[in-house]
Amino acid sequence: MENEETNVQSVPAENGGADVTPAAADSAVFQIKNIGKSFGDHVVLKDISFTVNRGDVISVIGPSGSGKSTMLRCINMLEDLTSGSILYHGKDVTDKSVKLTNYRAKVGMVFQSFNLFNNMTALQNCVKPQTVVLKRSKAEAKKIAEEYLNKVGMGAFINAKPSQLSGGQKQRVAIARTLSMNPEAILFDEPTSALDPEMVGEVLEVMRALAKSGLTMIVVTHEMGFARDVSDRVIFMDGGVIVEEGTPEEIFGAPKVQRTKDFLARVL
Amino acid sequence: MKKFLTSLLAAAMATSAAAFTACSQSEKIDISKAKTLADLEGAKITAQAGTFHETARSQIKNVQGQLYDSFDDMYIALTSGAVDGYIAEEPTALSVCYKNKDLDYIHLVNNDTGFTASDEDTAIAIGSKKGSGWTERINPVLAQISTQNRMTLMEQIVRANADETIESFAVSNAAPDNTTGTLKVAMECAYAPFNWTQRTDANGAVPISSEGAENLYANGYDVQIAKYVANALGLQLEIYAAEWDSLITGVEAGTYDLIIAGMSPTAERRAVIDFTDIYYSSNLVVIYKK
Amino acid sequence: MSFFEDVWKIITEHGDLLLKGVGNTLLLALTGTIMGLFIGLLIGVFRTIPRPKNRAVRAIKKVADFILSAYIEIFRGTPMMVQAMVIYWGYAFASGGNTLPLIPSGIIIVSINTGAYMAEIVRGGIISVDKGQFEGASAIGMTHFQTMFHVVLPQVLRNILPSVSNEFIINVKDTSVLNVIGVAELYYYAGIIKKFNLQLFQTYFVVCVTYFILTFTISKLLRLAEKKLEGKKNYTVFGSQSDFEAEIHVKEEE
Repeated sequence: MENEETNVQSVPAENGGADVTPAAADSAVFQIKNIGKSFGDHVVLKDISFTVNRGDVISVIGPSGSGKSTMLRCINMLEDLTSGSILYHGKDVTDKSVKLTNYRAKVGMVFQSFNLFNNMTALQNCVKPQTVVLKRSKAEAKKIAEEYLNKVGMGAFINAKPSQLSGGQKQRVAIARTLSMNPEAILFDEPTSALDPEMVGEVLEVMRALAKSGLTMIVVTHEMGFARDVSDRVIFMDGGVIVEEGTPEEIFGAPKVQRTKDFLARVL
Repeated sequence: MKKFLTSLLAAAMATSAAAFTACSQSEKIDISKAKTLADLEGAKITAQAGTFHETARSQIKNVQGQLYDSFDDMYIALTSGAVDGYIAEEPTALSVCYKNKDLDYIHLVNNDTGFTASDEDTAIAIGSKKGSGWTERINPVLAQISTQNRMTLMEQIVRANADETIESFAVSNAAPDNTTGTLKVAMECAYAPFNWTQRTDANGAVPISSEGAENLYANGYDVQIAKYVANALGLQLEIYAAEWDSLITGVEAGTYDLIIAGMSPTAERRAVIDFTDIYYSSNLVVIYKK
Repeated sequence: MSFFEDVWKIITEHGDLLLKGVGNTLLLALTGTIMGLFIGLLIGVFRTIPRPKNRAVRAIKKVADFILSAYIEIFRGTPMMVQAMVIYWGYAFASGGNTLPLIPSGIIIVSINTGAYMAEIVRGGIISVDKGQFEGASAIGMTHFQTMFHVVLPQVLRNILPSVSNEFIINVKDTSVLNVIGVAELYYYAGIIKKFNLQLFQTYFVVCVTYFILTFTISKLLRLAEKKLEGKKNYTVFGSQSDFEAEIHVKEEE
């Protein structure tokens, strides 16, 4: 991993912004406490709890429909919780008084479907959020955006519109966009699921470099190789609950629960 | 679904076919020899909708054809052959037939050979807002105009409408040196010879004060009467062109002071606005194509 | 042959009136469409505001939503000609005989009328924008208004441009109904010209052709604008990270 192109350095999160700043130096970035989510009568998440410390890379695996993505969207508050709370540096972000825009500016999210802004070029995609949300100057934002676009290997395509890029290229721009915000943590929602197989590698490579740089990451993924090699901890979810949690060695080497064993037997 | 659409289409076609048959039903009738109302039986005679003419029209036995909103439309309907004739006041007929030699009119006389009509229906008066006091101020002015002068003025106006130059009108007075205010008079500026629009101030025409009517002038019997009244009252005359339907509304709202628009003081209109004494009265006739 | 002589006479004798009419028609239609679009965008942004958390704010929004719906339904559901009469004469009665200046009232009537249609067009435009665009923007910390202004509305505008062009062309024609209150647009002057010559058919033929020339030119111009807005099909790849001279032009296949 000595490749200059993808060796991404994490920039320490800026602790600006009022109401979500940690009160005391605490290594726990997120404390997910007993969260539940239902759509009407349909229960999607039940009593999910775990803690994410600074620099943790956590992979969330599990069969389709197990609630992995919903859980990730709940952490970013894109979905309202039915029960439970999410503490970000000890502060409950489900509280109505918390300004979600401040919180989201610090917790980046990368989507399965990229969600690049279609009306902007790759560069503008990375510049606009900085100038609008972080109120950075245009020149500074452009400098930062170009830096990250270069790091994800998209420096040559800064003038391309999303419609002119391949899936893998779009996802790399999306990652650069998120990085340009200098987030403290990034949530990845199946970032490679919508990609053609030959493009999965380029995105995973970027993510590996990010993980190495010490960025806090929660990755919902079907890429077992990535989960095993890169993550500090692996969470296996099924039926809306956390079935098993442990180091990659524990989960992949010696799963304790039968459902985990069955799942791994199917996918590996 | 298909069946439904088919039946819908069939229904539409049947309706339109019926409509076409209805249109082409009546035969063309030659009315040029007509002397009395009875001679017009079964002819396609039209009239301006919403006026006394519409009521008068129903005195013709088995009358055919439809009503129109304006005299322009009736004129085009007659010249295009869509109708056999249309009902108009005699001055209108005079004016139209003077300009278009293809046309003539049946010289009907009210309550004799022609339509049964009261003065209220065929005479015209000046309208104003109820209780505004205009009627009391204007009646003495109108009383100064002799019947003979009215007739002469109408003859002159018909010639002026045909672009002839008139030296001086039979009804006229000097403009006052100082005016004490304005007199806002509304008319269609489209009902020759009572009132019409022209592009020059020839024959004592008055500029139209309506927005967008720059360099347009009004003239006609009503205009000359309006001028006479304004001068006599020491007021500055302003003429506004308005749709027929807006005239009464405009006076009620206070936008205009007077309606001098060849309007008959019918009972319905008297219920909403005041009318002065009559300033012209005429026969109802039928214009036809020779 | 006399028909064309009549037509030529109308053009030479009353061309000044026709031109004045064209000017006012364009003024009414253009300002009316632009202001209508603006109204539509405002309503579109307002109506898509996420459900407020605060109960009082929620109640206010509900009332505003109701008023906006009523506005749209009423102005979309009644003829502009009738609205013109009601507004113009309603004001005259209410103010004791004063009348609104005609061209400005015409513009207001066309604007609020168009606004009611535009609100629905914009709503359709917002719905057609991919949900991911909203999510991408909120996940990055943008507020509703920032999302709308920077991300959604630019895409909406591009999507609805054909409908906006359509509204503009409809307005060029439909402003003719404003003659009922005496607004001096093209049709109003047609009414005056036909009174000079009593040549109804010839006059309206000239006006008909004039309207067509107007709308046809406008629709061609707007097509051109649409093409421009779609943007270039090609873009520049920088062949080297350090040397910006080394450009490669990529053209997307059409």
